[in-house]
Amino acid sequence: MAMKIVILEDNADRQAIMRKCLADRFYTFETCIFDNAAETIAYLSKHLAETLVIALDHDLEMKVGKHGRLVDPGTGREVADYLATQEPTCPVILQSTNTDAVTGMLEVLKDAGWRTKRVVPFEDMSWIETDWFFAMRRAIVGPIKRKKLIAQA
Amino acid sequence: MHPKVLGGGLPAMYAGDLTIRGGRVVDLTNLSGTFEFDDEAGLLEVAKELTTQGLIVETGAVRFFPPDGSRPIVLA
Repeated sequence: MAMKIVILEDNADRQAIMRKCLADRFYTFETCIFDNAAETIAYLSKHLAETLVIALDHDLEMKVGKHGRLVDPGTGREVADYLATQEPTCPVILQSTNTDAVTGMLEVLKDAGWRTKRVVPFEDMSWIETDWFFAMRRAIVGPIKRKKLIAQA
Repeated sequence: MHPKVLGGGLPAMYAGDLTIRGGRVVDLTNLSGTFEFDDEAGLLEVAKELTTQGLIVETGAVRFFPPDGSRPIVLA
């Protein structure tokens, strides 16, 4: 079964660039992008064990639902709060300019033992192919686990 | 870098990416969406070649990503 890359990002242009970046290098994995917190949590509740990395935005735009009503998509904090109730399984990238919100997400995740990395968006979309993609690669390829290797030797 | 530049247009023998930190190769993979190499032996040959060329490849740095999308394997 292919491992998953799970992303919460509501901006369609950002989504497209993220998909393009990941398809170029991480084509063997399944990339799942959601635009609201509830669907992200529902997906993770079934597939967390098969997830390699999670990337979370915080602020999400209201969506137009049935009959033209606006629907609240929630925030990345809700996903972070859900993850904090689970055993840490993979790195979490936080991609938001909302510093206060990200600080809260970092705290709740770190307190629960999750490995985190913040990426600060800049210059419209250019941060995705640089900082964000480097952070994702680092999270997926992973650092050398020296202690583990020494233990195995 | 594109193989037409790097290899003078000759067929690629292997492809992937790597990170060099402090003069040492800290990760080496078969991650290339263009070439999609899927054999472990080839990646180990790349690591061996880098060592022959004088680079230090850290223990645990050689990471093979299986074509079925399962977890990466540390080869060496």
